[in-house]
Amino acid sequence: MSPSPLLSIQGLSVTRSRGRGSPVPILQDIHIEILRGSSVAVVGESGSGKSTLAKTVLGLIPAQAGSIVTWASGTREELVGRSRAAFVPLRRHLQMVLQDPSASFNPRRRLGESISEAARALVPTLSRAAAEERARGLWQEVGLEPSLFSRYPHEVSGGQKQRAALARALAPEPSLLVLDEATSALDQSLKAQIVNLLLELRRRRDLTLVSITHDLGIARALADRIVVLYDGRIVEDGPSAAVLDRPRHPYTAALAAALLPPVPALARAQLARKSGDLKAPSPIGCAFQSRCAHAAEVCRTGEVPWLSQSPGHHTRCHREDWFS
Amino acid sequence: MSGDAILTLSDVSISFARGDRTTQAVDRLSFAMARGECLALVGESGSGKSVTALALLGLLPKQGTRISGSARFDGAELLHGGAARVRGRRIAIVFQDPLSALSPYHRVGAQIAESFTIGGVATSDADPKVIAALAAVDLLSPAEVARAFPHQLSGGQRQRVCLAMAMACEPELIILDEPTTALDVTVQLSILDLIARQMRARRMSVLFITHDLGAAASLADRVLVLYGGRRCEWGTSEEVLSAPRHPYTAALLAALPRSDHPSGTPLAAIPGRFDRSSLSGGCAFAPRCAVAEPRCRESRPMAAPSAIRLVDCHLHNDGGGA
Repeated sequence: MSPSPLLSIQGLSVTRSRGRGSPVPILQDIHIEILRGSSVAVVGESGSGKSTLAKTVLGLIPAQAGSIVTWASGTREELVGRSRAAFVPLRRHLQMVLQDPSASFNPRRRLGESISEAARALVPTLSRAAAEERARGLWQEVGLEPSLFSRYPHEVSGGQKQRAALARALAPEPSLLVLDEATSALDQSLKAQIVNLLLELRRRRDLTLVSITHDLGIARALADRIVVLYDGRIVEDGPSAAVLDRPRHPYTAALAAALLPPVPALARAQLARKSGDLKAPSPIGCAFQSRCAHAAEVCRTGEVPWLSQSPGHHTRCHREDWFS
Repeated sequence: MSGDAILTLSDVSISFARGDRTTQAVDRLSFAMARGECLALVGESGSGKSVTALALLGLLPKQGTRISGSARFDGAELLHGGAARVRGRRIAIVFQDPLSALSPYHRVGAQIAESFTIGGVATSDADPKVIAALAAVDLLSPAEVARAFPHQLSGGQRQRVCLAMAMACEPELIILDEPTTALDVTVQLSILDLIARQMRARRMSVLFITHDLGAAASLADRVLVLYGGRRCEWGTSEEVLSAPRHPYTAALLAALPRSDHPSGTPLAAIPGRFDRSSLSGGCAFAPRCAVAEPRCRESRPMAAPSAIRLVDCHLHNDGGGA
């Protein structure tokens, strides 16, 4: 069986109006094809537009141009231009987990109730009893003790709440799960537990995962493909191992070099290679040129070409040979 | 090394009483820090690392807090009210969230000037000293930053301002409580690099509180690992991070996605979670430890204070290693 597409983003642009000034571009000309059952990580710094991308896919932010097509419901559906009301029937297929799990729960409702409610609200054919049974099943599947099912959000730990948020997102049995920094606020040992749980859920439920993260370590563990965003544009897109081990865009290389290994000699050497305040993205030419050690005359103006490095691995960089 | 220790903690315990419940946040913690060294206090939430920092500066609420033991800074007691004399003068702190450390109503320059005043140097916000302090933390246009309000700066710029404030009084010891946790990795790298350079140039001692083992490795001379308010091990960064002896340190390192980790394969997670209610008279890590023995649940391991490398683990102290 050849892999079928689940989500296809073509030429997506999102702008935000600020007061009376001209609208500010947040995302520009985004193209991403996501296959059913795959796991993609979208990485970048704050301000790169990665959270905006997640929210646009889920219909929480309107797009100004381009198209987002999904086959999550079984048929082809265009998401751009859809009203909030027209989005509702699709919600059960596209779900999201946020960084702060408290944001996913009503503080005055028991966790278990919130999960069965999510199932019933999005799958109207489900009876109350069936919804609760599903919620209890998910509770166990995400590794929570049955005794916590009727607890309130404030009565459980951050890690337990994030597991409950996962159960809530899975309640309507979605095809696509968007994780917006879902492990960022967790301790190292919990992070590893949640990553493992996500890998297991993906396999068991044939889930498609899109992880929005600034943590390249998490991206490596969770995703088979990495999309790198800088200043609202994709600068690199390719298989995880290739992107992280042999980055072909200077920005990706900078991100990878910023990941400090717990080995004193290596970490100190990495630190010594870096200094100074980081400059803002350049408004003309390549946005990264203001920070790029390899910037040349050609990078100062004009459009940057989208080049193929190898099958399935692309970069947006003029300097094809900076890494050699 | 105790001869030139700048900070010595002996048997420090901190507990909080709320109603009839008492939480033991730090439990008989002892360590010493040499002058000019950077010690990383490493641990996850609930390990007691930030509580220790606040206690050293006398910043814990008096109501309901019980502190015992001793913490000597250059020979003088810090606990039980002694910290007020040195705080902001000889010891400074930088917190995780610069936005809550800075006043939103005052220009950055005025806030830096205030730190100089506390340090006993009269100054104004346009003083060249203020501009120099901002330039020293690698801010690109210090005069502009001095005139700005905190909300007009980026997260990285704000944290640089906090560092400038902390260093204004030329402290001998600076405590950094997760200073780069909320920042992007690239910004984190440049701030850690700034700290490393300032530490050398000013010969400051640094107590670096972090949960990030990579950040600890980049900055620290020595590392102290905490779990559940108790010490696990203490040694040079190379010893603790490259040849861990405590099962908790080893497990924490193993749970990190290494650069050769094949994507889509599980990480070596530590099972279970930290549960304060399961703390007993034994080792704090025993309930989650893969190599725990019955005695680990019964008696608390404590390394001999004279040891060169402190490992609070029964299995290690047998001489058999862990």
